[in-house]
Amino acid sequence: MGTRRWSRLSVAVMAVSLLTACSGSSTPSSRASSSSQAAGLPAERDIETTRAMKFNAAPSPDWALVASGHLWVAGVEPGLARFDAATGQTQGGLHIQNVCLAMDVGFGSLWAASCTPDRPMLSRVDVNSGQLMASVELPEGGPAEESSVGAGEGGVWVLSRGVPQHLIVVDPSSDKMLRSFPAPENAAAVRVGLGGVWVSTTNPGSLVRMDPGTGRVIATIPVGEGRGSSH
Amino acid sequence: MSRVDPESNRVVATIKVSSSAIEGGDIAASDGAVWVRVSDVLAAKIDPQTNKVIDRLGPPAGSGSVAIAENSVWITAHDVTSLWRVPQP
Repeated sequence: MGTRRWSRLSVAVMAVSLLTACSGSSTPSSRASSSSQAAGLPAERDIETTRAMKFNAAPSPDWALVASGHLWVAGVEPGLARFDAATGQTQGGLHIQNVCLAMDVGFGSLWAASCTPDRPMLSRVDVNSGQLMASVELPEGGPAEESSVGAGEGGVWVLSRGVPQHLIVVDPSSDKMLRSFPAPENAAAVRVGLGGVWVSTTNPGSLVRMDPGTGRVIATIPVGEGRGSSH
Repeated sequence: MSRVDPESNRVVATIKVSSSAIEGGDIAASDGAVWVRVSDVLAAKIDPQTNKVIDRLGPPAGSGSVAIAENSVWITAHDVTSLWRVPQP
């Protein structure tokens, strides 16, 4: 089974209009249940009543990614923790802290960006051995929090923080910053694949397709409620 | 959730996945399923053949992430310091 986010899906790119923001708050279960029925969604199943297994993961399990049979979870001791994806058995991990955006897999590696203020970094990890292969220093300001890394289409793509934003491209053959392109206004996250660089934006919600070679905008696609055919 | 055809650059489906705004989220896609980390519950599963939500796991627990492995899906919830493995057919 293909397991990569977004780009592995063979015929389509999927996006949510509010992509990759891991800082929300809880909603009471009873309210969620009644409102989900009103919205025509399937009834909520309590995860504890399924065959789900719960694992200890402290202090703050956040971004997760599966690669080569291993589950990687940011925010778990020692920083970026590794588990057996089939059993949940802990397999140690790496001292990579402050991973504040979604990770990606590409070029035989897992890529994780850290938002440490004085030393923003893109870490490259061998997906098979679990060893740190490279630490690529990112420009001042660092990556946009709650965004994502996109690995593929000739580079590893990171959205910068601040205004104006840029798409930073790291060369996987040298582990150095290759170039940067201006990012669309209000850019939220980036993924790559299917021949394009895909950037989600807020206000208005859209998915912007860019050419990986030139950074030129090929299409701006309005997304979210009220767009396209509804289900 | 919007599904976009990369050939035409057009939205081919818009799928309601949550009864409220997603305060924190994530997407994981495989050939057989698309999982979305939502806020009104823990996560919603979409059948990419029908573009419909076919499962929703709760209760809500703030934000987190979702990842697909062979025969399972993993869900994190940092507000409750939890990591789950949910077996899949």
